[in-house]
Amino acid sequence: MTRYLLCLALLAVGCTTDPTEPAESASFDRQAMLVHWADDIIVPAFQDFKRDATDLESAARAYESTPSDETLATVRSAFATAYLGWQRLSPFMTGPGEEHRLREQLNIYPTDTTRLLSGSTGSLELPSNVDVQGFPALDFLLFGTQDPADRRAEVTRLSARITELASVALADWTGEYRDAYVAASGNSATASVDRTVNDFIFWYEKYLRAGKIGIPAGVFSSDPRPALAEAPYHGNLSRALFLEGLEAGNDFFSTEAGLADYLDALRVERGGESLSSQIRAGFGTAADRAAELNADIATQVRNDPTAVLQLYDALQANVILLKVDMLQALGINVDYVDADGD
Amino acid sequence: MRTETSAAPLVVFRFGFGLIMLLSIIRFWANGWIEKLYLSPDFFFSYRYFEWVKPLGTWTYALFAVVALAAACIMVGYRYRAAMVVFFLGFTYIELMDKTTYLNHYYFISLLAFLLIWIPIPPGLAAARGCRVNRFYIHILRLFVAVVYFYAGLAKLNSDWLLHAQPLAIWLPARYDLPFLGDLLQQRWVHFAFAWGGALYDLAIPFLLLWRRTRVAAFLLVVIFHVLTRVLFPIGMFPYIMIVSALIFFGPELHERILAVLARGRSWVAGRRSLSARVPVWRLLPITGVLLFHLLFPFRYVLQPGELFWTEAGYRFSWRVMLMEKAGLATFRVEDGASDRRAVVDNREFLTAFQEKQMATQPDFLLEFAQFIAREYQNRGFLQPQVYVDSYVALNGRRSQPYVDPELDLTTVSRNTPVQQWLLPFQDTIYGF
Repeated sequence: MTRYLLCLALLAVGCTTDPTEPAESASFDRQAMLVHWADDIIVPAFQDFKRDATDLESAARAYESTPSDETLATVRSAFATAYLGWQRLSPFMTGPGEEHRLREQLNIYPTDTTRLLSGSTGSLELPSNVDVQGFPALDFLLFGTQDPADRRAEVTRLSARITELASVALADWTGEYRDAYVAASGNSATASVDRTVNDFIFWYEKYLRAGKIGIPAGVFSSDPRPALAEAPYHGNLSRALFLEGLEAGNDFFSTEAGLADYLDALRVERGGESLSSQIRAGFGTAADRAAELNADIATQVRNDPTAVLQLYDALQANVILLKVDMLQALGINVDYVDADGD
Repeated sequence: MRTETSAAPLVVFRFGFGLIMLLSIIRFWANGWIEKLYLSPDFFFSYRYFEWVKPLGTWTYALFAVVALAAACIMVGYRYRAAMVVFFLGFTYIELMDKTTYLNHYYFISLLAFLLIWIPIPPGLAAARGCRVNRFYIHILRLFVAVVYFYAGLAKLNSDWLLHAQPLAIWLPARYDLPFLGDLLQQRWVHFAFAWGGALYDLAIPFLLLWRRTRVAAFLLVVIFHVLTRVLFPIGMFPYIMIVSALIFFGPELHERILAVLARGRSWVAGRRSLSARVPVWRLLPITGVLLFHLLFPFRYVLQPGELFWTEAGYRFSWRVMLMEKAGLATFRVEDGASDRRAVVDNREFLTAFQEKQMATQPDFLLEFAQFIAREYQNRGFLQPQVYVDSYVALNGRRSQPYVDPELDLTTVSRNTPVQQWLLPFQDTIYGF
């Protein structure tokens, strides 16, 4: 027995001197990465968002009691601030965010204007009511109606719902969830790293790339669909919303003790260049292309959809690097698939 | 040389095979995988010539029950040959239902079950004691198992495995959460040790098991190796199957003792009958056929041009185990040749996450799905659906590269079209088997 083990050991030693390979990869502390994500990124994003949502709600209440141009301007500006804050949060629907259906209740668009105008939408918790609430509905009520004052009670009701959702999800995070999240540092489809990264990529692909850019640009249809852009009634906000989301994504990927460091610790190189810098460059290219667009994506799509399609291509290039190359390099389990393999 | 020997090794093999198969079915059922893999999906990937094999709806449970019953009969030795025929047909049918779930060890079981149909094994356990058979049958089983190991070892003799320790260098560090091993698995030299050790193990173990002086040590090595793979990788029942199979290499003395333990108590399977010492032609022919197939079929890839890992033409059914980490992304576009309608397909509308993952890296899956998409969109009012796919695949830690030709309408490609005509070439070279 020992003879064979010895043989194996000798063989192992004999073949470690391949000069073309990196010496050895350092251990990377995944728990520290989870701590960073929870304490430096996700919980602060929730806290900021709750603050902004509370501001929006009080502005809405002030507007409801004394409607004026001044109070309306305050609500509108608080709306834009909170909507931007939501973009910082949207990638992190792992755990409480998903449990309380935040994305579903805060940012499903296009909103159903007919039902909003008819005024009888009922309980906001109903799954059938996801498209008559949240930011898209407020966008319409505040910027798309003849006189927002007619709907100011609904503006308050919808704003209060946003605060409520932000509060319960934040309470979960600062309660028991944070520690459980950090403790689940293992490697399985249900461990925190795998779930967070899967949720992040899902957000990047479906909400950032397709929802904000690809769908209005007409990538998935025969024609451009500017009406399906985000915040179409505000008329000056959708590019900023996109850029805020993109920056949230880049921060999540790039800040210290994050995925970029994880890739670097494993010395992941593709085509002679580190994968982390390629992905960072991809975020940069997308930001540059977005900077050239009209502040309103819908307007840009109507005037010149080609520039939006180019932005889409830049975003798509990073989907491939994130979803194929990065997931493979990190050995992250793609989904909740649990079956034998060989 | 005497041709007759104790039948005990065959009886123990039959018992072990039946037991592990019974446990496998129970485990599969208990994990909810019948529902998840065969009932909930809407679409199933078929093997060529077996397009007619589909899950049976809720009757799929009955199919699994029949196979489990057959495994139980095999275990106790009740109507062994009929049970083995039922098991072979049922198990193979299950494996043919959806290509997504293909595993080498399922193929191992199907092929072994077919071989066992032709091998005479005395019925029962207690009743089988003292029975004698021609030792030819025992040698056949040893050869069958040895080939699996040796071929798996040959397949590891490639530059990715030996010179880059891939894909182990991707898989092992991901198991950082294992107690004791976790930190070690981050070390580069450990990846190489596992790669070279694994290749050497596969190539040498059949001979170490065959040689009497090294047999016990080799068996210990079998146990250690397979338990280790069980700890490191999600490979289900495979380690246990291989451990039990390796018992066939031991002489009759050990099996007599195992049988004595198993056969305690009353024999309730009737009839101890003497088995002919001769090997009749009707057994010899199919046995020779299976073995020839077993030896030759894995080498069919040499008839195919292109990199085997990239095209996968001749990759399955060849004992290529754990050689590739392939990740992919496939986005299908449908355009109507008769109008300006077009659409981008959401794969998950038709496939489970598991099916989508398997589909994205295997050409035959991509083609089959593209043709399904064409039919589906025809039903949705596309008069002349043309299907294109933007696909990327990363193989063993290389940068992802385009996979299928994105300019090619896949409805113009058939299963007979050589794969290199519609797959883009692999931008690297892998040397070796």
